[in-house]
Amino acid sequence: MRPFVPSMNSKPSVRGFVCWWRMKRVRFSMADCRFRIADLYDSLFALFASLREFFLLFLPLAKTPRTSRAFDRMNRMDRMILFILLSCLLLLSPSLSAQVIFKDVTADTGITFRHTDGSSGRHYIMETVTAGLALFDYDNDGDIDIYFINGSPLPVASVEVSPRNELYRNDGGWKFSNVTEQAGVGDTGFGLGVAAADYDNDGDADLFMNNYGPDVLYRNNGDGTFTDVTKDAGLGGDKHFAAGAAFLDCDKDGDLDLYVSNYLEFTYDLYGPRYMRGVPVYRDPRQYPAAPDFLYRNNGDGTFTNISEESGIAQHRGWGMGMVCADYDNDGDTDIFVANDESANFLFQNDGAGKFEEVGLIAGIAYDLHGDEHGSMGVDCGDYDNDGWLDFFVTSYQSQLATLYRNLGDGTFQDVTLLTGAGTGTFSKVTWGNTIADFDNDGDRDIFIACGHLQDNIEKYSDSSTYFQQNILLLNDGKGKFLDASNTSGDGLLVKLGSRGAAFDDLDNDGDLDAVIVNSREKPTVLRNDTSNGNHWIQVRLQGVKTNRDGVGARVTVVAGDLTLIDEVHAGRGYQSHYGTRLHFGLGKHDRMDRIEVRWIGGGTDVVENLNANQTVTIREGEGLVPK
Amino acid sequence: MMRENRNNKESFPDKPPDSQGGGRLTRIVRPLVLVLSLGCIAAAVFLYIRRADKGSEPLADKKADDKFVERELQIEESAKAYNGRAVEVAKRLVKEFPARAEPMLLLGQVNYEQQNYNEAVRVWQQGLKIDSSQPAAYQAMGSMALEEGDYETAIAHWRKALEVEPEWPGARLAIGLALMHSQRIQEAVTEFQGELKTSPDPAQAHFLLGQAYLQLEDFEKAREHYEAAVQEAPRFSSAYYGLSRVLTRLGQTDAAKEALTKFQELKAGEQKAKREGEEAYDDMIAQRGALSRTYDRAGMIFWQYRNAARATDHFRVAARLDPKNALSRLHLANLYERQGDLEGAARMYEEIALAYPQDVRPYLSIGSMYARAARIVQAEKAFQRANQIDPQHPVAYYELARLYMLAGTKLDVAEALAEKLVELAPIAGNYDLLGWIYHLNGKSAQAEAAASKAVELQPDNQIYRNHYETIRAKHEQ
Repeated sequence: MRPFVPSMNSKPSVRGFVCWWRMKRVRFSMADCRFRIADLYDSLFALFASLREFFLLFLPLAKTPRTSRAFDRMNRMDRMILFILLSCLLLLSPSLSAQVIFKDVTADTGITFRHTDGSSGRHYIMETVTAGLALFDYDNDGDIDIYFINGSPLPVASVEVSPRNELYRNDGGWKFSNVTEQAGVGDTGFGLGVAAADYDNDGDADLFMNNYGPDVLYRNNGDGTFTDVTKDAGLGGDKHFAAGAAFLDCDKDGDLDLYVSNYLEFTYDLYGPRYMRGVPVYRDPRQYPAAPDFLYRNNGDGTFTNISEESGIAQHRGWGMGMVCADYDNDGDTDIFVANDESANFLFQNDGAGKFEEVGLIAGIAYDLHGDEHGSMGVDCGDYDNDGWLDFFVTSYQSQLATLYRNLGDGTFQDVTLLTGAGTGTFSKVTWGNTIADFDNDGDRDIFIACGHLQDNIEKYSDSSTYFQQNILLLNDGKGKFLDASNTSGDGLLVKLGSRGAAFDDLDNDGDLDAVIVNSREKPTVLRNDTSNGNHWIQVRLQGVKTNRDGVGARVTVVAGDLTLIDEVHAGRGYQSHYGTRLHFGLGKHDRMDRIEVRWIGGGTDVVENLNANQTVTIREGEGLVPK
Repeated sequence: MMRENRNNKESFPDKPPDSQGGGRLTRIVRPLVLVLSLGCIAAAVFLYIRRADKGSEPLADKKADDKFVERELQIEESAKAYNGRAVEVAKRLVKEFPARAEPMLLLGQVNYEQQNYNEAVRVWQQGLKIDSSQPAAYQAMGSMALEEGDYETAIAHWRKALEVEPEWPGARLAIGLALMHSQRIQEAVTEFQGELKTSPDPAQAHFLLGQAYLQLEDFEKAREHYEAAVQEAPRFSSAYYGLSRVLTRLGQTDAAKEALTKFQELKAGEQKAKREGEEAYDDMIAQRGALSRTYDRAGMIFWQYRNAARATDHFRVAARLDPKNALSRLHLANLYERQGDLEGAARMYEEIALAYPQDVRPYLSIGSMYARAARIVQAEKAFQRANQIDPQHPVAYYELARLYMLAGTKLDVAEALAEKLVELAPIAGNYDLLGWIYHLNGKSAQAEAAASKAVELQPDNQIYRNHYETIRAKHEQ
C-alpha cells in the first residue's frame, strides 16, 4: 500500500517515462485508486512481455523492402519515439485487462515450511496426492492463521529431520510465526486432508487431519494450545487412506458431524512401481480397490460414532479425493459432494435427518458433458451466475477440462465448461486446489486453480507437459464467461511449481482474498491480492448459538441494490483443504447493502439491514449484528 | 589419559591394573555400560517399530533396495534402447531416401509416439516441405496442438489436412471439437454437419451435434442427433448419456431414466475393460511393440519403393520383436505368397493364429495357403479349426466343402457342409458350389435345383450359367 513517489532528480529513461505516464493515467482515470509499486512492476513486466511478443510477431511481417528502408532512414531519436509510442499502446492494453494483481510475498512472510511427500523413488501413490492446508483463526484474534499438512517418510525414504504439520500464527503485516511447538499441533503422520471447525461448540476452532494411517483430532484449548483427543473422541481407529475431510451438521442437531472421504485400499506388498517408456511412474488409482467413505456422528459429548452404514454412505465405493458439503438443492439441509478419482463423482442428497441417497448420475454431476469420468481432484461450490443456487467446480487430470457444473435449480446440473470457458487453460495441466470466489470484488465469482503434474517424471517420458505448472486465474466477466487472466495478474500467478492444496482468505484484512498454496516437495506460495479497483466488499462471520458455533452450513444472502449474492459456511473444501469460514462478498460499486439474511442450519433466520460496505461483521444467531 | 595410567601404574606397580582400583571402576562402569547398551538396543527397537508402524510396513533392507535400484535402471535402459532403436530405424530411412516425404513422416510418427512432440513437429514440417500433400501429418500436428490446449493452431492444422484431402476422415470433427473448446459452439455445428455429409461412420458426428445443440439449448435438435447416434452405434455409451441429459431437460423423465440405465450398463463394461487393460499393461512389451511397429512401417516404405528384400528384412524383425504383431506377419505372408512360397505364407498365418487363437481369419488363410500348395490334410485341419471356433462362419463351410470337392474325397461330408452353407448364407456362389457337389454325388435333380438358384440369384454370372447348363445336360441324359 506504499504510494509511488517518483524522484525528481532521476534521469530521463524509458522506464522513468513509463512510470510517469502510468501514474498520470491512474490519477486521471481512477481518483480513488492508490498507486502501488507492485502495480508498476506488474505493468512493466506485462509491457516487456508484450513488446517482445509484438516485435517477434509483427516485425518479420512488416519487414518489406520499403519498411526496411524507412526504418533504416530513422535516426536514433526517431526510433526511440517509435519505441515509446508502441510501449504506450502496449502498456495500455494489458493493464486495462489486469484487474487482479497477485504478488508473491512468500519470501517475506517468515514461513519456512517445506512440504515433503515421503518419497524414496518407489512411487507409492500417496506421495503424489498430498497435501492440503487450512486457513483459520486458531487464536480468535481476528486474523487468519495457516496450518500446513505434511507427508512423512515412507519405506526406504530417509530424512534428517522428521517432517511434521506446521501452524503459523498471523502476526499482521504479512509476518507469520511458527507456533507449532507451542500449540502442540505438529502431527508427524502422513497427512493429506484437513478441516477446521468448532466441533465441541466451545468458541474456538478445532482441527481434524486426514492421514494415510490413523487420523488425528486436535481440540483447541482456547489458550493457543491444542490437545490430541483422537482416541477420546473415538476417531483414529480406522486405519485407512483418507483424502478430503469436512465437518457438517448432517442431522441438524446443533453439533458438527464429520465426513471423511477415503481414497483407496493400499498395501505395500501388492503394488510395485509401474513404468512408462522405462520411467517409473505412479500407478492409476483404479489398480487399487476403491474404499468406502466414513461419516461420523457427533454425539454431543466430545465423541463420535461411525454411522457410515446407517446413513447410506458406506454402500458406495469410490476413489475419494476432495470434497465439499453444501445445500445444493436449497432444501435447508447439507448435502455432500465427493470428487472421485477416475470414476463417477458422488452427490449425496440429505433427507434432512442425516440419511443420504447418492444422486450424482441422475443429477448430471457424476460425469462430464460427454459422459466421461474424470480424474477428479478438488471441488468447490459457489454461485458463479448469481442465480441463488450453488454451482460446483471440479478439478481433474491432464487432457480433461476442469469442469463447471451449473445448478439448474431443479435438482440437476449442466456441464457448462465449454459454454463459459471455465476450463480454459486446464486441458494440458493437472489441476488440484480450487475455488469459486470473487477476487476483484466486482460482484461475481471468479475461479482460481492450482496446477502441477501428478507424475514427477513426466518430463522424462513426454514433452507434452511439465511437472511444475503455472496456476490459473479465470475472471468472471459477469455475463457468464470466464476470461483467462493468469498471465496478466501479477508475478504471483507466474510461479510454476507442483501445486496441490490451495486456500483463500483475506490474510491482511484489507477486503480482498489472498491465497496460500501448498506445493509438493517445495515451499508454499503465499499470494497477496494487490488489486485496487475501488470495488466494495463485505465479510461476514457467523456465530451460532443454538446451531453449531461456527455457523457451518448456514446460508447467507447479501442484497445490495440489484445485486443478490449467496454463500454458505463450509468446513473443508477444495483439494483436501479448509478455508473461508468467514464469508467474503464482492459488492462491485455498491457501497451499502440493503440487507444480509442468515438462514441457520436447522435453525431460524436472522436479518440485518442497511449496512455500510467495506467491513467485517459478525452476526450472532438470534441476536443479529454483534457490536464491534 | 596416558599420563593417568602411567601414574596409576607407578602407584600400584605390583598389582594388575584391574584388580583393585581399576576393578572398582569396572564394577561401576560395567553395569552402566550394560544399562546404556540395553537402553540403546531398546531405543533402536522402539524407533524401528515406530518407523515400521508409521509406514505400515517393515523397511526393506539395503540389499533389497539395491536390487530395486538395479531393476529400475535395467528397465529404464531397455526402454531407452528400444526407443533409441526406433528413432535410428526411421533416421536410417530418411538418410536412404532424402528426397521422399514418407521416411520423414515416419520419423515424426516415432517421435510423436515417444511423446517427443517438439521434435515430431519439426520433422513433420520438414517432411511437408518435401511433400505438402500429407494430411496425416497435419492431423497429427493438430492433435498435438489440441493436447497442449492450443485450439487455434489445432484448427489451422486440421484445415490444412482438409485442403489437401477434402474428405479426410475426422478432420471436421476435430475442428468442431476445438471450436467447442474455444466456446464457438455455433461454428462447431457447421463443421459437424459437414462431417455428417461425408463420413461413412456418422455416429460420432451425430453425437457431437447433439452435444453442441445441448449447449445451445436447442433440446429437440440435440435429442434427434443423440437418437441418430445410438441408432448408428448401439453401444455408444456417451450418446446414451447425452440422450438422458436432453430428455431430462425436455421433461421426459421415464425415457431419460431408460437411456441412463443403458448408459450405466455400457459404462460398466467399458470401465471393466479399461481396468483390465491397465492391469495387463506391461511397459517392456509395449516398448517392444512400438519398435516392432516402426520396423513394420519402415518395411512398408521399402516395399512402396519396390525393395522387397529390405522390406522382408524389416517385416521379419518386426515379427520377431512382437509375437502379437499381426500386421508384419500379414505383410510377410503377402510377400511370400507373391514369391510363390505358399508354405512360408502359411507359416506366417500360423504365427498369427498362435497369437490370436480365437480369431477365425488366420485359420482360413492357413487353409487357403495349404490348399493351394496341395497339402490337403493341413488345409483340412485349418478349415476344421476355423469351423470349430465359429460354427456360424459361412466361409469355413465353403472352404472345407470346396476342398473336399476339389480333392474328390469325403463328398458326402462336403454335401452336408454345403447344405449348411446355403442355410447360413443363401447367395449365388454358395448355391453354385452346392449344385456342383450334388452333381458329383449323382444327385441330379437337387444339383439342377441348386444350380438354377445360383443362376436366378446372379443371372449375369457366366460361370454359374455354364455349371447349370452342364448339370442340366447331365440330368437330361
